[in-house]
Amino acid sequence: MIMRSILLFFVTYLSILNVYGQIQIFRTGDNGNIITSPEYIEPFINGTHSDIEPYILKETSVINTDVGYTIRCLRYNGWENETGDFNVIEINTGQGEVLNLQYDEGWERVSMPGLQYGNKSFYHETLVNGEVALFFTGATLMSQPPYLTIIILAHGRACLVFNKRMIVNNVVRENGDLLFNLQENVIEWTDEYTPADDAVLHTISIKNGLMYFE
Amino acid sequence: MRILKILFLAISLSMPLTSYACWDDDDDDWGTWDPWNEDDDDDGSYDYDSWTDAGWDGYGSNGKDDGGGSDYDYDDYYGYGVVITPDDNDNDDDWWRQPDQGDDYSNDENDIENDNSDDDIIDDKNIDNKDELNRKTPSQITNTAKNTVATIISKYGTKNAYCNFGVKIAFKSLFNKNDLEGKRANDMVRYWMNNPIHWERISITNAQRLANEGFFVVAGWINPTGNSGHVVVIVPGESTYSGSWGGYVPNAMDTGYMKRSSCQPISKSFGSSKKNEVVFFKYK
Repeated sequence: MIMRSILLFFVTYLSILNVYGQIQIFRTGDNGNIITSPEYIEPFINGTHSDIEPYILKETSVINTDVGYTIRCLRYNGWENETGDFNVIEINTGQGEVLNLQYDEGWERVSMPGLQYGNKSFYHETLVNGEVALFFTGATLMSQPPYLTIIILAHGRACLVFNKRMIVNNVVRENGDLLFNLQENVIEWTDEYTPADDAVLHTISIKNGLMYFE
Repeated sequence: MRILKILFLAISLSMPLTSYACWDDDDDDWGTWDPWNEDDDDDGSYDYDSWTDAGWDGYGSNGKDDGGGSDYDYDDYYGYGVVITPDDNDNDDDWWRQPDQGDDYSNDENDIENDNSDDDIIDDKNIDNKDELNRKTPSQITNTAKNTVATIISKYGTKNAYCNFGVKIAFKSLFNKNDLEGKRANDMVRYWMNNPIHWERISITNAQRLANEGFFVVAGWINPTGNSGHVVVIVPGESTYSGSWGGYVPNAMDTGYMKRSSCQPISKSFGSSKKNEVVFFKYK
């Protein structure tokens, strides 16, 4: 009887861990506002540059959900010798600009193993209640993981909800769920057979239209 | 027993709740970090027409502009019709080209070691005999960089971080020494810093010129978190204007994560936000 109770305890504990180990990256408030979590949003480190405008338009996309969103990806002027494909993300609705992000090191065209998405500047996935998640990947340099930048479009607004250095090892879709397998560190090698670090792995999953980080 | 079960259930329900993320209702609170305030302005775009496939034609300077546009072509990087254009005007603001002005930023207040003396900055007029022993031809360094990148690709592929291997292989190829064996990037930079007999700290201002003169020049960044840092070899070529760094930058061989280039502007190897933390050394 005691053994059964102990077993029941561990089964319950593990099942709860499985639920609570996955933490929602953002929530939607009662008024439709996106509620972010600061621990998932690292600031972009940018310099002050006097001669980078006018920006050069690299790509324009339109996404229609509750309202129409125009996403423009632009390059700083004169930055041909720099990393990344574009440095500015502008998102507009009919009401005007709703988000503008700038990043000196730049974002690159999306290339995630397992994700067939052509030669686009971002990947998008529809979430619950018509919300849309945009996934951008930053440029790689200094042997550091690139930024994974996630923007949510909802209720006529656009909101940065995730910006952390993460390598996307691959993307898997199973039973309608989408799983991004991530790694937060780059593995360096001291010799041919000895990795200096262990990979620190995470996942972002989209289940039933909700986005979780683990 | 039922009480025991309820107790277990209550404990197990309460424990993971503490792992919840701290939610913040302010969804726009990611600020723009703007620590840089540079007014250095150089609107002279670089003329890549000076790159040819004619091979290395010397590292002397003629200071002339051949009138070409900025038709950058990555393939052209592999040719070395190099013309160095030193700056004779000490009154302008292009500080990155004025090694004798004392404002070379590896030695200014932002310097990683806050060393304001010029003692450790190489004087190109005083290349001693020992220096000469470790001096190669520019084409030797260029070819070594190409061979090193080819070796890294064939042995380890095109993705993983092998910047330390790249520098180690290039160094061994040129000098047949194992000094850099078994070192990670952070360790390698510390080793350079701690061995001034063989590794002389130089400024970014001199890095390209010394590589063009056949010296083995390296650059590195120590990751303060302890995670992987980054190291590269400066290779012969012509400095390239970098908007992000706000000046002309040397070229580097980079075999770091997702990098397999035998020659690219160093601004593609190190982020501009780290430019004051990147240190340069000459092997002597």
